[in-house]
Amino acid sequence: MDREDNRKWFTHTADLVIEHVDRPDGRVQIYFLSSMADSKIVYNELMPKLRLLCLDEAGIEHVEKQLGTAGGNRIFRETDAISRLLSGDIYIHVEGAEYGVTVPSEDTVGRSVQSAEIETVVLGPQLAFVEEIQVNLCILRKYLPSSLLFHERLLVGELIPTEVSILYLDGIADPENVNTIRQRLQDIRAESDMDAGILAQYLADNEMSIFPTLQLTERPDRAVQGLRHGQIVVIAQGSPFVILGPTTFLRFFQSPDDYYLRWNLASFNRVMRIIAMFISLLLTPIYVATLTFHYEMIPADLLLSLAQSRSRVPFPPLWEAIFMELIIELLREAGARLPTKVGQTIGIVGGIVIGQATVQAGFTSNILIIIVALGALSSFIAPSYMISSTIRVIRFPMILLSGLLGAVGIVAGFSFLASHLLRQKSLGRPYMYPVFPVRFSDWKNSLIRAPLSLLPRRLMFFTPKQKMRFDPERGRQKEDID
Amino acid sequence: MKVNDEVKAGNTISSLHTGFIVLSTQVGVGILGYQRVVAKEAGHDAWISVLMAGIVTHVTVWVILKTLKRYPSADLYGIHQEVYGKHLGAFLSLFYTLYFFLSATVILRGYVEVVQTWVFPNLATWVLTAIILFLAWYTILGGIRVIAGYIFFSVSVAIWLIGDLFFPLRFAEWDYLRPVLEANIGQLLKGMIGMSLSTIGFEVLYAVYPFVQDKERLNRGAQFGVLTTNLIYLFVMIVSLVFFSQGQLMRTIWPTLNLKKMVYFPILERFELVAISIWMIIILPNVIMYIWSGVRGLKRTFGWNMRNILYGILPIIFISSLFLVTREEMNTLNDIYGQIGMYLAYAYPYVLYLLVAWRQGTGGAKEESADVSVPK
Repeated sequence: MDREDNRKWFTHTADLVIEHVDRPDGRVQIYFLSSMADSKIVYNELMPKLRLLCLDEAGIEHVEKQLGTAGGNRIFRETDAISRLLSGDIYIHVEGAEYGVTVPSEDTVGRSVQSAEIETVVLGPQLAFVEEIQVNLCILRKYLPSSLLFHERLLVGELIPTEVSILYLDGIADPENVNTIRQRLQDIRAESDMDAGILAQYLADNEMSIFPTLQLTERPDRAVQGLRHGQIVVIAQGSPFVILGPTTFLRFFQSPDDYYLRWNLASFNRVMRIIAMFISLLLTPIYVATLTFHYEMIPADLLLSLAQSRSRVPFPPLWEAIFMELIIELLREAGARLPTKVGQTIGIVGGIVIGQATVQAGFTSNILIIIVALGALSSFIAPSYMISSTIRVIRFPMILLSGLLGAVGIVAGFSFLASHLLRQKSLGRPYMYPVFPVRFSDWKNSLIRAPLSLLPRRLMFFTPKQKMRFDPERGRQKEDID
Repeated sequence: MKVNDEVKAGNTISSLHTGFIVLSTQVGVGILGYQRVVAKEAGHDAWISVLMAGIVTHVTVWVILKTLKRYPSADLYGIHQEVYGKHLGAFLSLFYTLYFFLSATVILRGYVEVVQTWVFPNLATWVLTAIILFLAWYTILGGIRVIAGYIFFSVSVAIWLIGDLFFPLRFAEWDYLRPVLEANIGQLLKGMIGMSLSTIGFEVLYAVYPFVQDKERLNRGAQFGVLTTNLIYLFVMIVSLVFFSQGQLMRTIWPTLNLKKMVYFPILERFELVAISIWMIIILPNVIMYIWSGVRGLKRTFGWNMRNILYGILPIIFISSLFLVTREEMNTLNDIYGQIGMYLAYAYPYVLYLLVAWRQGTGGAKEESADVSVPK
């Protein structure tokens, strides 16, 4: 910005307040944005202090002395003054002085810290991140009061950059991953708002894939768990979600409360989530495939009840299934958009009215309603919203394939998914780890959750510098029986 | 072209995965119907032929690795170059490459035939062929590590299918196996040769070798793969022999699938339909590995870009598999392919080993010091 632009800015900013300290010469001026800065500080603190200054000695040094501001707040250029004003500071100018000084005074607008609503857990901290980056940093520092927590600040984007912070634990996170993230953030040449969701797409290895390769979370405890294993956290100003990377496919099926619950319960939950994913992906396609092509596979007794249930349905199973799945998706999207109170009615309308009525009208069979509901339920079990939306969308091509080629189509679709997942990378690390490349030692902390005393290692996926969390011998120690 | 191929550090696979590759390339469409071919020659002693073929495979794999270990990081095409010189070497590499593509075509068409016979009688050949070739293409584009990953996925999904053989075992007539060794040695050998169509596949080691990370442990990994294959073939053969009478076995084209008909669950009958569908996951590693090995050969011999070769070769495989229509044509092609495979996979490694040994024993010292160094 040159001087001309600065002049323009001063005259075109309606909320800019220029206050003169009511000294006879009127040489001391206070600038601030009434929308950003706390005007109480100006009128209750700064102005009385400045009025006390001697008449003839009012140089900038005296102003500094009177306010007790350090030398670091000196501003030499107009452009800098503007940027400080824009971030909410108060700028004090003395006519004829070489520089001006700023006083920090931010009147932050934003919601206060609230409990998590997207990723809820039963046991565990209920805190969630908010839109203000400083608050988020404060939360993370409270969780990890350590000098190991490194923090880098970057400005990302063209024209109007967004403030972005990279956080990681020094000596635990792999410097290579940190470099990758930093490099990719610096390479972003786009003029757009850098919400975490948008940033995650710019950072992702493969933008075309339907699978998320970076985690978004609103839970500080999840971010902290990731940091402790060597993941890297990226926070963007204005977004209540932080980015966690690198990550793996299985991380999306893990919830922080896997660690708050006892290991056997947590392992059960983890296995159940994986099974739920398969149910959600395969149940409706299997229904369509068997009823369209392979009804000879169903034993006679079962076939009879199936046929009875379907006897009034005039559509082929493929249309029937797509019709029902679409209804579920419509309900879900409608429920997400409507205010909470109206959303409940949608549940009732969808669940009872449409479900019951479609069967009575002969549009679908009872059994399909069970199957579709089970599939939808299973898809919501995934603890990450990102992966559950992915799974729900993948179901449609799977149903289509099963309607066209039966079981062969399902296997072909499944096979494609396997290849596709194997080809994905998260910050250059294999996405399907530890399933492939196989590392059995990490299976006990990803497919299941073994007792904490058996998990001395950090997950090798993040290639942490310190591999051990504690001495495994200590986990094995047992007192002798008497 | 250099004899040794330097592979990027991040693009290697472990010896165990190489074992999986060998296992999954050996087991393919052949296992569905090899029983009749072997039992035709060796009668109820067919399992001994399977055993013998297994031992020969172990030895052949050992010789292949022995040949490769004379180089730090060479593959078949590099060795051809060194042993035969530029032009003859390129010609032989091209021949082997064509064999790889032929294998892919035969296996692909064989699977489509099974699907058409058992599941979808009216399905057009090109639909399934196109789907399988697309999946193979998509996986090959990921590189050797993704291929190895896919093969690991394939083995871990498909290995459970072996469990369904316990259902027919309930009806086993163990007397069918007696008297042991009724067949004479000539019949057993003929049966063994009949096995070759089913057990070839380990020759992809020739192409994979430069990508193996821990080459000194490769023998263990590869032999483990071959051993697993042999045990599977032996088990399936024994179950078939005790379940079918000789007469039934001679009249059955795909005995393995007939065995799967015996599986019964309260919510599932006709298990062979499930098995045939899942068989696509078993077929794909075959197709992928053969196409990959062939394309690698063309890249190494002529220096072409692998992506471009794929665009050229996949339509050729697609179209040529459409020309095979009748069962007779399939049988003829299988016989020819089995013959070629037997010579290229079972006989040629010994010849090549002798040539390499002779070449390195007498060849110019200057050439050796540059290219041939004993791996540490």
